[in-house]
Amino acid sequence: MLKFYIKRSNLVFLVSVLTALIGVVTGAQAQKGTGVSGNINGVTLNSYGNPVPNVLLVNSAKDSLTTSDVNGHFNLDSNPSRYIYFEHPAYYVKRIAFEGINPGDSLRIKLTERFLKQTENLDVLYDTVDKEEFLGSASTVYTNELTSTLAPSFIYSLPGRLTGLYTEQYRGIRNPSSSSNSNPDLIGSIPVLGNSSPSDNSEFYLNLRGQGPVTVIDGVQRDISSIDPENIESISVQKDALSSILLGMKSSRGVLLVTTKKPDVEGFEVSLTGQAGVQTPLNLPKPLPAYQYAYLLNEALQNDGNAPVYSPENFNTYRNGGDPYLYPDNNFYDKILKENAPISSYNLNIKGGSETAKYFVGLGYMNQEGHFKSSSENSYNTNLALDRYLITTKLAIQVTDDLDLGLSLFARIEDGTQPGAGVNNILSAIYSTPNNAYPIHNPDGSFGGNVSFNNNILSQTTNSGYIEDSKKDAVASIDLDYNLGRFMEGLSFSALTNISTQNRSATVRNKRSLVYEFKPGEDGEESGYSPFGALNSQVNNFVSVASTRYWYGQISLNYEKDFGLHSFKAKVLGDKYVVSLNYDLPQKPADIAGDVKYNFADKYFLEGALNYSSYNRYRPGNQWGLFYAFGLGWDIAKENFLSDAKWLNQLKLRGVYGKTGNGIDNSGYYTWRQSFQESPVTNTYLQGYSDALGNGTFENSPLANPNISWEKADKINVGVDLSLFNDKLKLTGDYYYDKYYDLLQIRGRNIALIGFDYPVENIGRNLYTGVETSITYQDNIADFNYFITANWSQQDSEVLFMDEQFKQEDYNKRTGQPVGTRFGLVADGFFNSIEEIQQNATLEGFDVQPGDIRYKDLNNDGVINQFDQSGIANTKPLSFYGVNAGFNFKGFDLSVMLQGVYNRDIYVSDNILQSGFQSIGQTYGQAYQPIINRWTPETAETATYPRLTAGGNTYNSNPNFWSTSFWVKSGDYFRIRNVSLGYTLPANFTRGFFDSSVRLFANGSNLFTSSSYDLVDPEISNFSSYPILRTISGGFNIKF
Amino acid sequence: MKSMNGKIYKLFLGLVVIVMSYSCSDDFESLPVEDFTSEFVFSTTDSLGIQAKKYLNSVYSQIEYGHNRIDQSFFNSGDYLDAATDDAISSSLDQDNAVLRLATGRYTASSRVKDEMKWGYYYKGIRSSSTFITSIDRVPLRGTVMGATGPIPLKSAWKAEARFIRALHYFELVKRYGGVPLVGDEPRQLGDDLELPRNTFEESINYIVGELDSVQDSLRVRPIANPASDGHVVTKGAALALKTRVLLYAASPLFNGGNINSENELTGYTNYDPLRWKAASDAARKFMDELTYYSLIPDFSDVFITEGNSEVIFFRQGSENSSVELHNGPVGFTAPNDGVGRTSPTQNFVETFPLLDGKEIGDTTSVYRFDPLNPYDNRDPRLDLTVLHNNSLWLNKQLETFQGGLNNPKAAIQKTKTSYYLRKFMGDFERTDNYSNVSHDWIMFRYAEILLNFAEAENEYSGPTNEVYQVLQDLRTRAGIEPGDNSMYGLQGNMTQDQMREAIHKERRLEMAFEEQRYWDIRRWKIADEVYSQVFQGLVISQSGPVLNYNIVDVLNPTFEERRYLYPIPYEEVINNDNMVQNPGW
Repeated sequence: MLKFYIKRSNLVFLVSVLTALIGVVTGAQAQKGTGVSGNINGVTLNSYGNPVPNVLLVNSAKDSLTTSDVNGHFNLDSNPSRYIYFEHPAYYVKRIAFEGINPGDSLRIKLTERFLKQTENLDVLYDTVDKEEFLGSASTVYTNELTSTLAPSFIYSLPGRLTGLYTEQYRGIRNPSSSSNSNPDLIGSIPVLGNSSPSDNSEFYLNLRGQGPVTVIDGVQRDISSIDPENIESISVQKDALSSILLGMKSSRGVLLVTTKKPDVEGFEVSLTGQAGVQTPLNLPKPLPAYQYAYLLNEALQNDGNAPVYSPENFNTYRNGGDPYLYPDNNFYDKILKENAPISSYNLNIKGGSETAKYFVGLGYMNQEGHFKSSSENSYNTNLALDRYLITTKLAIQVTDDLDLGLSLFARIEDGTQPGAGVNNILSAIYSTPNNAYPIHNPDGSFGGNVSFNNNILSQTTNSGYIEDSKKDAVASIDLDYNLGRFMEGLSFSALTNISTQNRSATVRNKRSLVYEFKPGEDGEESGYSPFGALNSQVNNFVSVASTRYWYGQISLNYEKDFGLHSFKAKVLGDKYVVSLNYDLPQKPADIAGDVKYNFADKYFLEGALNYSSYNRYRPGNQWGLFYAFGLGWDIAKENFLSDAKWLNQLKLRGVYGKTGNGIDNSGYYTWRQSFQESPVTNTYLQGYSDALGNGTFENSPLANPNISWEKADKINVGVDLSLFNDKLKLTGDYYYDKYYDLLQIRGRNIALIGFDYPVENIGRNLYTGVETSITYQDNIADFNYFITANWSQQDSEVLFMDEQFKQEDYNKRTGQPVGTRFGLVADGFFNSIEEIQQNATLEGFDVQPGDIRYKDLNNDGVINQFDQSGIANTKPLSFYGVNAGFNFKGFDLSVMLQGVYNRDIYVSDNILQSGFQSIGQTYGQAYQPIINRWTPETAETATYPRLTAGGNTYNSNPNFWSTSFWVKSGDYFRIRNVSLGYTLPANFTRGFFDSSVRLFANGSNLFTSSSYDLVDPEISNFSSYPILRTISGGFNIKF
Repeated sequence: MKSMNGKIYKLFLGLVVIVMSYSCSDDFESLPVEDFTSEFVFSTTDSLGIQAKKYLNSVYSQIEYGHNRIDQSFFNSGDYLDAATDDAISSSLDQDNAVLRLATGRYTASSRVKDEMKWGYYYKGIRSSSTFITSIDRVPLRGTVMGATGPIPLKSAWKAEARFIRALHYFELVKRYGGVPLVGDEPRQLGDDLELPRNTFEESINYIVGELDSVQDSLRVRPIANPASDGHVVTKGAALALKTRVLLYAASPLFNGGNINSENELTGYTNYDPLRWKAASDAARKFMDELTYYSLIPDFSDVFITEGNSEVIFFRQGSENSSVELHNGPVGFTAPNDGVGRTSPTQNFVETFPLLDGKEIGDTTSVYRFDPLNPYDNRDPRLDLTVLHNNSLWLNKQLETFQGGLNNPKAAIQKTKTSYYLRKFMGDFERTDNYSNVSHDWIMFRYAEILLNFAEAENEYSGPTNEVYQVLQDLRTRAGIEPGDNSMYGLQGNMTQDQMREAIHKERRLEMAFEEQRYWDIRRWKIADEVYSQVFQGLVISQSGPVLNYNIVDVLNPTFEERRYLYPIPYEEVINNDNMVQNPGW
């Protein structure tokens, strides 16, 4: 109900806002000042109309004139020069011409925040530090960079922006989860144990220096990413050991730190944003039209020595559409998917308060629709859709002089729908069903189908009922800071507790209809229809998908004191996290940690930390581990001998070493202990002639590993920060050397005689090294403010040890290769003749024909077998970059985000795309356009695909389940990830309307992609997954 | 202000206490109780053995179910193993299908046909049996059941059942690989040395036979007291039946005298010893003499679909369903009778069926004449109960397997490749309109096999004695073959040993078709090279007017090489275990 109301009200809301705007603009008048004559005074304001202190006023000759005071006021004695420049690190430089300004005028100078925010502080895990004293490696983005992408989750705006974070988007839209957390059984349901905490992220693979980062939101670990970027202050990835050491048993993985907006201003600030756009799928697979499909299937059958099934007349009938019922030609991508789908988002933020009590309120609504066609016959929505409602409130209260209290509440509801047959089923059916499989509708209007395709895809899309899924979150935190200065100067106590719950459920109201195969009557017989599939009336099932409860508590004692030039900080911290997921016994990681910082004259820095960390699902006695890290820093620019070099603002060398761990998420559910399970389905045996149910009890697989422990790592990071020319140019470089050991792997020398599956054991050793750099330059030419920031990262890895089976040849060995290197046969063109086949080594057990791929006999033993496998992927280090450039000029602003990856491989491991005509049901499945360039005797010279076969001859695709270098394709790509163009209405236009600042903008995402592999989008690895989307949107932002 | 600070201070203390007490008290057990351990399964207080029985069920569940066993997946029906012999081919469109790879030798030690060349699977079965055998002792199980010579403790019976199943797994390994490592009773743990060497073929056979001998008197006998609940259990009959099969295989040419690597003790015996045939013959004779409960039942097709008939010795439980019908039945019917015709019996197989009087096609002494235009008339009645052909009555319709006929449409779909469909194992659906649920147990041992085992072993040891003749005649009587004037059921009198061998082999092929016998028989008889050197054929029936033309066409060119008499041991097993020796040629 709420949903419909809001949807309808969107329009009303938009219209009323626009009307108000127009009224304001037309009614606006320049306000004449009434100041003291001879003097020019004024105030510097931010876009909310609140004062900005410490703005430096400079004349054309770069002489400082004055600085605005706490209330933003400034006073100029006389007309100093032609122009005055207003300078502040956080705002664009503003130029005001004095022409036309009369003495006595009161100036209202509205400053615009820089797109690339400059801050002195950095949010780190459980703390905020001065950037000067930070010794690790971090990369941070702020609100502006996040909000220029319209998407349901903030992860969409990260690619290319954060140095060291590699992203890969494998789906274009969220994956709705509607499967139950129990396995239905004949007599009830069996709980699914040991699930991982549900995550919002079902679209992106994130890789931070080779590891999956731990998301921490406002000091609490939670995988929440589907929140409005407008509510986020900053997102930072922190990659070194010291930054993550307080995560204890997850500290190896690096942190993705999300800090949401805080109640940190006095007064009243409102920001209202609305935007709407359309999303278009990029690069869908291109199926063969029916006549080509029929022709090529014939060719494939004949290549296999079988009779063709289509005649030349059939090709023509397909081509001219003369018989759409018996010879249909349906491109299901066109028939099922729409070109465009809407997305919209509205957000209202209010901040304000007094010195003793401040608040923040955020409200958000977002709607995204999928691309499935729907039918007007349904009163309900069958398309994929998402509606999200967010409410955030935060309070910061100064209870006494010594006590600060913070309260925060966050609630989220996500309601989704999808077709009853399930999004992923439909997409994979579209992908694998040939164009001529069946007519979508029969002459009598019934849904077409047959024994092999007993589910009509359109019927699955519009006529299979629907599934509603729902996600409800509530998160509440209290934190307090108590100054114990009464007892000891510099001492304070902090505590934080957070409770949150998430419930995911689904209401399944799906159904299934029969499909009918149409057979025309002969000689006066009536036409016949044969039913296939199943007729299931609509069900109404409630499914509990996940029910999760989190509790987090943290207490710490902090000490902070300066003794002259010596500055000390120390902290002792204890925390505990309790995660209760569905039926599982709670996970209870806990840490006891200490951290000490010292610096001398902001020149020499020293920091060390210890963490004694535990996890309750390891064997008792094996639950506690010690992790530690320390760092050193030296800002050379602060040395006296460089005090003359005014152009040098910072030259800091820094280094961090730490021993970190990674357990908890990778070690299963009490896997140290051999457990048994009873089931009336698995491993059961019917009893006697009555076939009565005989439950089975069996050992859970794999075998228990009583010694299982967390993985460990020795991580080193060294870096340099350079800041030049009054902080206009900033350079950062990092090098890391991370050695992971005790990695959980299944031993290679496993012997099946044990009669059970082997468990993971702490065996492997991997090395990750890399270089990361970023450069930022910001400056202005008069009013023209511009910036460019670029980052480049390179990731290299090497398997130092894995318990590898004996390998005869060096090129067979995984050890020494990059982690995860794909091994397989090396392809060497096609066989062009029988003679060539006879003269060359071939794969044992296959009937090789001309047009098949020739594989290299690496060990020259005359046969192709497992000894001829070598690493077939690119071994150069994965490299990726992002460039963000833009300007702000007279109210116009532009930002362009470019992003790219190179030295990346794609492996096409999909028989449908590789060769087509896979057996499906009782017939052959779909084929795609690339196979038109198959090998035939005539095209032997130019062929890019091997000869055709039907029914899954795997010689060319994955012989003996091995990979081959033929299917390794370059995954390099370059994208215009994002363009954002905005115009801020002149201040005097909007002054009448709460003195507001109004920005109109247009955003575009995934506007252009260039890649050498263009069958589908280069980031998509599963070709039947939801395509990547291009988004074009427009909207407004009002601040007052 | 001061008092306020004091209050806050107290509040803190309170908070700390609450937090501490929260983290100290537990709402849940410290270890997941629902994930129970061995102490619960084999409980020292469970005198009814309720949990242990469930574990035993899991041990049973690892016995393989043969119907459409190979390459079975959620989406596809699989093939019968015998579709990798000259009896049939798979209709699957999948060029990589497992039986095709088996028939054409498209496998190596590192790219094995996983569905059939199982190794670890059997060791898993062996492990769970051993876990039961070693753990059941501590369960104070009460109760007795009836054995051959009086009551036996239930605990002994259960233990014996698990030991039988373990022996069965070992035999499955031995017939595939030759001698294999015998891992003993104690389940191995993670740190144990598992680099075990293979035991010799002789040791492996002796171990299996020894196990069967020592458990046979601890097992129940048929008729079982409560067949409704216990009809599936391992009986003494099962143990003796497995023993006859093990001894028959051990005495067969592949292992006894025809060892593919004559000095290799792993691949067979290194000598020929006729007494091995005698041992096999004696074991079968003992079965026939002692276990008089078993007999051939009158109706051949009832053997497979009637639970509790007196021919069945041991079976792998299947449920009541139509799966065999739907997986192998003809295409062209409409739901719910639309089969997918996975198995295409060959023309080679169909031609093996004699005429109704038991004489070969073309034998001029037969009272029947083979009519090429009506090729299925006056044939061994088992033909119609094993194979569906053109014009067979099925689901109240005459099957049309001619080109373009209802059951052999001209379309790119999976359908018969030989114009034949499988009939065996199905319910009697000739004269019904729809399939209905039928018991589809997988019969592992039935009395007819004991007879054939006896005939074969006895003929090899003593020649074609009257007993041998009698056995064949019994089988042919039951099959419905006419006795003829001389009451010889088509058999010649005074056959030589070689002639009799051929007759027994042929009888075994027809009687035991698709029961996972032929595939192993052609190997142990060491005739696989001959069998796979012939082309597998099918029919193309073309209709011109009312006349049907039966044209024989080639459907598969199989291959064979000597190393394929035994499967390759998985490559990783040989690489990872320094003591593991690969089979010759792999």
